[in-house]
Amino acid sequence: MGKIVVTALEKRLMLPLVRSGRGFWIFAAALVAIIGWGAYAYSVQLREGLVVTGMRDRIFWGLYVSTFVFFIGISHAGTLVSAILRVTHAEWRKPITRLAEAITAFALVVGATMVIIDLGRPDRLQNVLLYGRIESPILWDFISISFYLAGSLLYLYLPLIPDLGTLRDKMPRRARIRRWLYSRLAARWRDTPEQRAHLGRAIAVMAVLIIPVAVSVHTVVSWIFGMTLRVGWQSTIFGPYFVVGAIFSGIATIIIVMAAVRRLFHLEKQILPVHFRNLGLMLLALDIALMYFTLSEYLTASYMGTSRDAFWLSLLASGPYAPMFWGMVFGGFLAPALILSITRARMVRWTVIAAVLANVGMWFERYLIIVPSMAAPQMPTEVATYWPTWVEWSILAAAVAGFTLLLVIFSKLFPVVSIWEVQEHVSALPKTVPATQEAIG
Amino acid sequence: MTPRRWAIPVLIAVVGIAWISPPAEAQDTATMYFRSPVAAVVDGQITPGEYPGSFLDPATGIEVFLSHDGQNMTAGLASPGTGWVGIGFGAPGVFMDGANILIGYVTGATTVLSDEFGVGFEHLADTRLNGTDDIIAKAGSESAGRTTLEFRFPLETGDARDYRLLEGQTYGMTLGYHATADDFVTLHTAAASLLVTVERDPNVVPTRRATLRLGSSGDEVEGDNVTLVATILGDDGAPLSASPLSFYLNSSVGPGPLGTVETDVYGVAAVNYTFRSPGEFTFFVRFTGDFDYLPAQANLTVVAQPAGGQASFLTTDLAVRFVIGAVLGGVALAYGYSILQILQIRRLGSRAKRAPGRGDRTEDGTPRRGGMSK
Repeated sequence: MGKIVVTALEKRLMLPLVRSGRGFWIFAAALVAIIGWGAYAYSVQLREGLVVTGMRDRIFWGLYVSTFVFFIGISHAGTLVSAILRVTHAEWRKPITRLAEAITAFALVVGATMVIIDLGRPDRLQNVLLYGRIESPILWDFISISFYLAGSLLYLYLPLIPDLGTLRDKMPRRARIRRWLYSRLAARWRDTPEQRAHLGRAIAVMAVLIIPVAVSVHTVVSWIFGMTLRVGWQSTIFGPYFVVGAIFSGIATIIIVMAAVRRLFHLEKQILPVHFRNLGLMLLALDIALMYFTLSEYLTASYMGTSRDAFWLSLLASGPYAPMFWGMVFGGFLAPALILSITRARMVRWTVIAAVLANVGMWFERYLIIVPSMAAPQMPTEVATYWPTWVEWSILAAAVAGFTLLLVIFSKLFPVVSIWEVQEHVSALPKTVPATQEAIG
Repeated sequence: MTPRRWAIPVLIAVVGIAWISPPAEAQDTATMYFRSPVAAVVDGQITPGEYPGSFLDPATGIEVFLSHDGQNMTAGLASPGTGWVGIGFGAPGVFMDGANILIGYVTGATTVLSDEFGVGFEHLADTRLNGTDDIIAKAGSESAGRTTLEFRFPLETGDARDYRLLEGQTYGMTLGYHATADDFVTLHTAAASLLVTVERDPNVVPTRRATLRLGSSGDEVEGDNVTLVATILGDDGAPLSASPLSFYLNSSVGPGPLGTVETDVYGVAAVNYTFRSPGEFTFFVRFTGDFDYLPAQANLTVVAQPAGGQASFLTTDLAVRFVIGAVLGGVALAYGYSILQILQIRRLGSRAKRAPGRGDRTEDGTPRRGGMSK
């Protein structure tokens, strides 16, 4: 039998799949524990009803819907970094597309789950299909998210096929279950020119198609609010405002996950500072666009100065939501812009700090869009109040843990950096140094 | 300090600032105390002990003094402004509409007070709506930037433009004032919607038991109306007329009020309800009691069937259906195309496996197999 050739790159990228330290298991166990606690909290909610949450008749969307919008937002990571850069042939993207695509799929799964959790009677979910009205943005949302989830899973799977073929052939013999799994998923990949041609066509179609589908998703999510006659919601710019915010938080999430993966899996030679610099610049551009939209949204409301708008703005600027509002403006928007504007600060560490601030700010932004608008009275009456209960905080923690766990499981099953695309990229570079290969078998 | 060291305090600060404290709760039910004979004097001055108690509304800053003797209420309002001040009595949870509103101001030595009726978010004098002005007495004063207004008014006037107040019942109460405007048209500086309970005469203890029944008529189908009909009879079998019955729908967040209706001469009161969804609905009706009868409650559970007919998509305009179908169909087709490519890849892989060729061989030319050893 002939020897199997495993290149240094393949070995580097496949090693995390077969080697897990004690830290990994402790981390995974902690995530499972948080999810378990969240499941218990949800069982309490299921048994007692939504009365165990802080939501009532006036404020009927709270932490769950804010988190849903936030996760749907970060699901735009894959679209921009993978699809747009793929369509524009930006070669530097190759080591980071896989992560972006995985973030998209998992964020969608967690985001969609939050909506089901928000239902006091989850068994009524079927009514959306059975009795849904096409006039309702809720149904549009259901349709577009379903299409986006299906498309994202397909778009995640397609570029995985060549790597699955590699894993099928080159994983250690003792990893029988995995080899069986890879064999089933690899679509009989033999790396023939014909197969590559078909794969290229499929990826090209999906890369182009997933962009408008993704844009439609967050536009439709924004329309749930924008098409409601309520102070703070009725707005013509909500569509692009939400999409820009979504891509902003999506890129921030990629930067954070990329930094974690780079450090934990020692991928410093594959995920380079230039990736952080480029994504940091994209984050800066979107941050500026987001600030522009935010200014436009609030300035218009304050300039018109109708009593309802003025009251809503006073809740944000000087009322009970002021700390969160100014935290969002200064901590979530201005601080990352300031950090990323400084050329010397565009190093990995500072870019990650900017990304963390951006994501915290974006979560605040989602919360501030939903809750204060519902708190502001529709009629001359008192301000409604809402504060999440332990059940909601627990489920939020479980959602974040669930998203992280899905990424962790993915990173243990599949290479987080696309082996074949990086190999193609390396092959295309001028050969100044002979390629290193290791023959093992 | 290295960047990493001060990244953590920055994050903690951002999160901490945002969640320093939750917004405060607000709650608000005032009491109209029973006192017979009435001690309060309508003279525009409120002295300590004149009223049995008071209620300070945190939203408007208006202090309300209310008492009644079973026939008339005597009320005092102290507002933090020199403009108009008003109070309204109506259905719980309804702001102004249908309420009996007493609104007035003090200008110089003159006290102006008007008996008005709420129409939507407007109010008009009862006399302009073929009603009567039923104010028995009024007086007011201004000092230190505050207005004090006192008046006496019947609990039941018989005027259709006034809201009848019964002992032991809870009603909606609206408060509002303006900082400076002495008129009836300038929008309030602050207003609030609250509740007020009319205290029962403690010397009258009810002992009789009424019979309360709740039924429904109409199609119990999603989207259709059903009429909830309650009947209340005394222990002698005679209907109890003019008794307020409150209807509620039980929900996962507590009872949802459907309305309070007075019984007719047959002891019957009814409200309509539209089923928004299919499923089980539990309604109840509550009688809070009166001088003779103890409180009573009756429940009713109905199951609303799903609406039949076509899904809304099929009844939508043809052009809209075409656009939606074309867009969704186009996306589905593109997905299908990609899946077809995967099937082609599989087919080609099978063929290559049967006849190993390009691209699937190891260094020495054998088909790629085996595994990586560490």
